Amino acid sequence: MSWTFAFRNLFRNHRRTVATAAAVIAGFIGLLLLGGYIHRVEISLRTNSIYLFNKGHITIFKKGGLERFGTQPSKYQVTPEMLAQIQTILESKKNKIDWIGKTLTGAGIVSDGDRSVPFFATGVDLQTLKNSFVNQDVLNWAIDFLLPGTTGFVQALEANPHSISVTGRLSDLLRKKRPYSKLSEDESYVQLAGMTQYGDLNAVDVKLAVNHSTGSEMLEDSGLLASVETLQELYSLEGFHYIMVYLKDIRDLDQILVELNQNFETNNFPLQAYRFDLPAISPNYAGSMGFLYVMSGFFVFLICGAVALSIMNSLTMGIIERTREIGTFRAIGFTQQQIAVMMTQEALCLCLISAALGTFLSFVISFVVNAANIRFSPPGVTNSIQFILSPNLYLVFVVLFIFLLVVGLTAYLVTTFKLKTKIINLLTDAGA
Amino acid sequence: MVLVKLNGVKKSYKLGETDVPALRGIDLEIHAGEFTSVIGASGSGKSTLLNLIGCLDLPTLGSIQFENKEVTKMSESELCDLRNQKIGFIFQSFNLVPVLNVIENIELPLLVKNHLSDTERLQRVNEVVKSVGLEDFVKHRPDQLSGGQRQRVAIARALVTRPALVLADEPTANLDSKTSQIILDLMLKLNQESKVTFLFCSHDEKLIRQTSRVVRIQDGVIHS
Repeated sequence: MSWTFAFRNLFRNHRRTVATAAAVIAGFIGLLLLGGYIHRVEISLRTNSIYLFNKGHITIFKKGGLERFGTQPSKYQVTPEMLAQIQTILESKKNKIDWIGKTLTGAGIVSDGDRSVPFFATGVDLQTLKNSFVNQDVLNWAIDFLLPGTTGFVQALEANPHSISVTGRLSDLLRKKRPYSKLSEDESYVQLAGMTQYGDLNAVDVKLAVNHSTGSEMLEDSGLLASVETLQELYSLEGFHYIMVYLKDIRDLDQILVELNQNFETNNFPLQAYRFDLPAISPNYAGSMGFLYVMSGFFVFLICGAVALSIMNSLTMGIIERTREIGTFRAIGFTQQQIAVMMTQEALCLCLISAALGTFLSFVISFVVNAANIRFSPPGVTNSIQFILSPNLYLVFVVLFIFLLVVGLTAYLVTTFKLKTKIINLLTDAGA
Repeated sequence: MVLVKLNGVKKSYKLGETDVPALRGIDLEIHAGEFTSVIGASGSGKSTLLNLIGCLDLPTLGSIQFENKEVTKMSESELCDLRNQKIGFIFQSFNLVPVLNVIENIELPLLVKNHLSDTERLQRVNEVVKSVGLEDFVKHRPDQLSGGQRQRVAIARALVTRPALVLADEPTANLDSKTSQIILDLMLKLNQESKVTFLFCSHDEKLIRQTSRVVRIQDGVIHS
C-alpha cells in the first residue's frame, strides 16, 4: 500500500506537486538533451578519428615512433617485416578484426615549375579509404565530417595510383584552376619534392585529381592526400608511419589492445599499440570530449542541485502541512525510518512521473530541433555541422538513475532530519 | 492484573527559561479490563498523563511500568513496538489520513510490522469494522464521513492490533452530545464484551459518571 499511499499524497497539494514536478521535468529534459548532444558528438568525433582521420581503433607505432617519426622516419618506421608480424599475431583474432590499414605521413614542397608551396601529406592505403567512406558508422554519425572531394579521391587513385588530392587553398596557392578535369595533361601534373631517409632530395610527379578539405583551418593551406606507395617512393621508405587496426566491434578494443602489447612484449617486437582516443593519437577527439565532459559535469551539478532544492522545499512544506499526521504515524508504532521511507517513496513517485513526462518532451524537442536542421561551425573547423540531439533509452535510464539517486537521497536525508522531533510535539503542532 | 503502574511520576516542560510543572508526582495503577476515566480542567495534566502512559513522551522523574516492564529504560525502537503492539490511541481530532479510505486507515497499525498475511489482515480489519458498525462505509474516505463515523474509524484503528490498553484523549470533544454518548456507549460495550482496557480522558462530568473508575486530576496531582 505504501506506493499507492505515496501516489495519492501527490494529489494533496496540487499546486506544490505541479511546481515540483515542473522543476524535475525541466531538469530531466535538460540532462537528457545534454546527454543526447554529448552522445552524438562523442560518436561523431570517435567515428571521425577512427575512419576519417585514419587512426583505426588501435594505432600501432614502432616504439618511439609516436614521438619521433617526424624527425627520424627511417629509424621509427614500421617496416614490412613488422607489419607481417602484426598480421600474424592478429590472424588468431581475425573474426574480430575488420581490416588492417597503413599510413605514411610526411612534409615537402609541391611545385608546378613556377611556384613551390610547402605541403603536409597523408598517404593511406586504398582499402582503408574505400572501407572508411562506406562505413555505416561514418554514414550514420559522421556524414558532416565526410568532406567534399574525399570520396572522389578513391576513384582517382584507382584510375592512377599517382593521383593526389590537395586542399582548395593549396590549389589556390599553386594557382591551379578547378575542376582539374578541365586542365590539360601537362597542367594537371605537379611535382612533390621531399627529403629521403638518406638525406637526399627526391621528387615524384603526381597528378592533381581532386580537391578536399581537411576540416581544420590550420591544415587548409597545406593538406595533401596521396597513396601510401607514392609517399614511400618520395621518401624512399619501405615502411609506414603507423598501422591501423579496424575492429568489427569497439567493445573488443581493450582486450585486443592488451593482448597485442603483451604479444609485442613477449616476442620482443619493438612495437607499441595505442587506443585511438589518446590525446597523442586523436587530439581533436580527446580535447573536444574532455571539454564536453567537464562542461556537462558542471551542468549535471547545477541541474541536480536545482532538483534537490525543489525536492527539499516540497518535502519541507509537506512535512509542515502534515505534522500531526506524521505524529499519528509515530504514535501507532511507525519508526522515524519507516516514515522517512514513506516520504521518500512519495518523492520518488513524483520523480518517476516527471521522468516519464520529461522523456516524452525530450524526444519531441529533439525531433523538432533535428528537423529544423540547425547548422554551426565549431572554431577552427572549415565546414558546418548539424546540431543534432540524439537522446536514447540508454540515456533515459542513466539520467533516471541519477535523478532517483539525487531525489531519493535528498528526500531521505531531509525527512530523517526534519522528523527528529518528539512525537508529542508532532501531535500537538498547531500548523497541522 | 496490573497493566500500567506509575510511581512518583513528574513531568515538567520548558517554557523559555522556566520549567512549567505539568505532573507533580503521580502514583497510579491501571488494571487489565478496567474502564478508567481521567477528569480534570483544561491544563490540569490529564493529557500529559495519557501521553506518558501511551509512551508518547517520557517523564522527567519517576517510573512507569507497562506489564511490569520499565518503559523509561526502553529504546526508541522498543517504545515503537510497545505502542504498536500493546497500545491503541484515540485522538480528539480523529487523526485519520485523508487520502486513505476506512479500511486503509484501520489497517495502518498492522502495516508497521507487516507480520500478517493479506487475508489475516483483512479479516482483522473486517472484525473491527463490524464491531464499530461501519460495514457500509468501508470505501469512504474521512471527508465523506460524519464526525461520529470518523471517531468510530479511529476506535477501530486503535483496536485492530488487539492492544492491551486503549488510550482515548478527549475523544468526544469535537462531537455533539448525542454522538458523544454513542461513542462512549461503543467504548463501554467493547470494554464489557471484549474486555479491552480503556483509559478515557475528558472534562465532561456527564460522560465520566458512566465509567466504572474515575481519576480526578488537578494541577498535576491526582485527588481521587
